[in-house]
This record gives sequence, C-alpha cells and structure tokens, in this order.
Amino acid sequence: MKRLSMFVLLLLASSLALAHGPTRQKVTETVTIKAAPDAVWNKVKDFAGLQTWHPAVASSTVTQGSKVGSVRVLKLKDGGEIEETLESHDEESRKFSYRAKDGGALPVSNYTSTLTVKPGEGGTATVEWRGAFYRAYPNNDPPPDKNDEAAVKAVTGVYQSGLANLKKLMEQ
Amino acid sequence: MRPDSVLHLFCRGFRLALLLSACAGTAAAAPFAYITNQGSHDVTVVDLADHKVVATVPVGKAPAGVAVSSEAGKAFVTNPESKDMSVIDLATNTVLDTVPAGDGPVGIATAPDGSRVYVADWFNNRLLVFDARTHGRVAAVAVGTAPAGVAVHPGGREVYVANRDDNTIEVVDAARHVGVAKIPAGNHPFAVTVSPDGSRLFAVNVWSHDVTVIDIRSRQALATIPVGNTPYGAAVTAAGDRVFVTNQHADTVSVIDIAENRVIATLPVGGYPEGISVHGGRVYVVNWMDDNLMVLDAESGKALATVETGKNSRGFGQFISLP
Repeated sequence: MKRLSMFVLLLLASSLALAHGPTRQKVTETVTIKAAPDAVWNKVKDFAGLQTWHPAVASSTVTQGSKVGSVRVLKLKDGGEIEETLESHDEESRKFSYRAKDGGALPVSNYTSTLTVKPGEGGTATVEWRGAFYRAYPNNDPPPDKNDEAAVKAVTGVYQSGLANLKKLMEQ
Repeated sequence: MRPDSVLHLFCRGFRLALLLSACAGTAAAAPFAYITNQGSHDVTVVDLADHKVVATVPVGKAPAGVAVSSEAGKAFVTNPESKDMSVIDLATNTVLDTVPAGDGPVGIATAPDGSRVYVADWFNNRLLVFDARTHGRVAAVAVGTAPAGVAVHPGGREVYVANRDDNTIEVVDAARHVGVAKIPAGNHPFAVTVSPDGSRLFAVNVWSHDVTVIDIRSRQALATIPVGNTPYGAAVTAAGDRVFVTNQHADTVSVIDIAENRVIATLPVGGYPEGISVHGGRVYVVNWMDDNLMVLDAESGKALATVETGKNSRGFGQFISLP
C-alpha cells in the first residue's frame, strides 16, 4: 500500500510539473555585436559551453556534447539548476534549440528556446535568443512569484544579461 | 450599416437560386480570417481576397480560441485570463457582447446550423453550451481533465472534446448534453477536428507527436499517424481528402492523405505554428512566434502571402468566415 501511494504521488508530481495553463508566453531578445557571425557562432555553439559567456552560469555537464538529444545540466552561481535537452543544432543556419525538463531554477514550465546568430550590417553579427514557455503555476489565479509577469521577467533577465555579456566578451 | 453589409445579410437570409446573381458580388468580398492575438488582447480581421487587415477588434484578456459561424453571423472568441467569451458581429466587426465562460475558456466550436456555441472550460473540466443567438448559457456538461480543443459533428448530433490530461476524446451527446463515451487518443491531445462527411475524427497529440484517426461510428481508432515535433492544430479540406497539421516545434505543417492514413508532404512555415484553417484551395497558418498569418497553396505547399497579426497570435479553432 505504501509503495502504491508513493507511485501515485510521483505520478501526480510529474504531471503537475508538466501541466500548464492556457496562456503561452514568449520572449525575444537580440543584440548586435561588432564581430563576424562565424566568430560569434563559434563562441556560442557549444551546448556545453554556456558558462563561458553567461554570467549567471557556474558550470555545466552534458551527456552527448552538441549532438541532438544531448542533455545538459546547468549549475547556476546562485545555487539553482536547470536541465535542458538539445532538440536541433544547425551549423549552416548558425542556430540551435533546446527544451527544459521543467522550470528548474526559473518560474516557468514547458520552456523551449532557440539561439540564432545572423549576419548583421557591415560585417556585424546579430544574436537572437528567443523562448516560449508557460508560467510555473499551472492552475488559475497564480501567486505573484509564479504568475505570467514573473515568468516573462525571469526569462528576459536571463537573455538580456547573457547577450550583454556575450557582446562585451566578443568586442573586447 | 454599409450597403454591402445589408446585401450580405440579405443574401444570407434568402438562399434562393434566383438571388444567387445578386449575392455573387458579396460572396467575392468574403471570406475573412479572425485571428486571436493572445498577447495584444485583440482579434485581427484579414480580408482573404487581398490579404489586407480590415479591422483589429479589442476583446477580453489573452484571447486564444475562435469559432467563426457564418450561419450565426458571428465570431466567438474565448478569453481565458478574463474568463469570458467575446461575440463579434461579422458584418460590422464590432463586439456585440461579452459573457462569463467558466474559469479558463480555451477551445470553442459552433454547431453547423449556427444555433449553439460550445466552450471547453479548462479548469473546471466542463463543456459549456451557449445559445448562439441570445448568448445565454444552456448547459454545462462534465467531461474529462483539462478539456482543450472542441469540434462538432457536421450533422450536429455530437460534440468532441480533447481531454488533454486524460489522453481521451470525450463524445458529448448534443441533444441530451451528456458525455456518452471517452475514446482513447495519444499523449496529451489538444486539437480535434472532424472530416466534412462526419466519418472521421482526428485527435492531435502534442506529446506523442502524432495524430489519432478515429472512426466516429464505431468510436475505434483506425490509425495513429506520426507527424512533426509537438503538433498543436489540424484542419481538414472541404473535399475531405487531406488533413493539415501544425508542428509547433518543427516550424512545419504535415499534410496527411486521409485515404492512405499517412503524411505525404511536410511544408515549411513560420515560428511555432498553431492555428490552422483550410479554405478554397489555400491553407492558412498562424505562426505564434512570428506574429503572422501565412497563406499557402494547399496543393503545392508554396507560401503565397504573409499577413502581420497582433501579438502572440494563436487562432485556435475554425477562424474563417465562409461565404
């Protein structure tokens, strides 16, 4: 009986972690960097290398490098963790996309994201980081720290701080 | 009221062969697409003859679902965050009414005769039934968990609801307002659509990345067809030969041949496609990430036009006003 109820609890917990409400959110942040697109792409394309350019990430481990299906676990400097699976990686288009296992350290659920490096004007590179997600709280009337605004604010912060630091590193 | 609107209403009211010549002029002006913009809280109305935006109609908060009924002369929109349904008059593109609709209305569909509106009440596990003329609540039917997409049998006798978290499709008897069966589908069904001859039901399964083809009479699954990554919407041609399915994480549309129960083509579209409708040899796809409506030739799959919509556009449901 005890084992059965544990199983039910785990099942319930996993479905709650994945369930989401009716309103999907998105964030797109871009930055223009005075560097060649290839140089910028080489800096970001390693699925295992986020800690080399994102100021919030302390370290990461990956299961299969930058091969589709690779799972990375990001350890954040403030102590949180995020697990993400690589869904596509296109060298020619200079873009890759991944899906988070659950919100992890962020107040989001069902989170997917794509990072793309495009040629800008005059030999520059434009980096676009965009994500789609739902708020962390799957039911109606969420508490303020788990509502839509909190989700959008958190993801926007991640993208803005990462891209700003990437620009700084590539232009120095 | 504009003169051509009066003629349009006249033609809708009097479907006599004698008047077809007078009505042909107004038929050429229609159809229109009504696209719900979940981020800008409005509906973009697009003239599909020239792909121009003719109106932007403010509705409730975070509109998602849409069901356009030429028979009723109205477009019905669900607003999950304001927990209500907006009713738009097709002739004037103005909001006639806003009515409370449960706690999280999303999926919506209308009866083929334009008499009823069916709304899936996500958080209460119910299908709400409204009178399409008075907008009054007629019934609330208990269904499965997290009801999402809704579709009505072309004969009007049954309503199908995707019970997203139960992985079943609810069959609701439209006359008795009661659920009579739960048909197993794939993992996390979101959209449902019915073939025009009323023989088949298609359930789009977000997490198993496939479509369950169900025989309506026997309520048995006939086939499970793998499509692209994270499918969200589906639309059937009027001829009943093809189903077009949006693959949200692949940025593509899968084309299913209904006779063969297999995918015959995969068409590139925009970012995170969801809402989809088919009409007059064209496929209309709402790209949620790109905030636009893309028009494709149904036969060749070639992109013909792109129309900018409002923010976070979804167009979840039958969004075309048919002449």
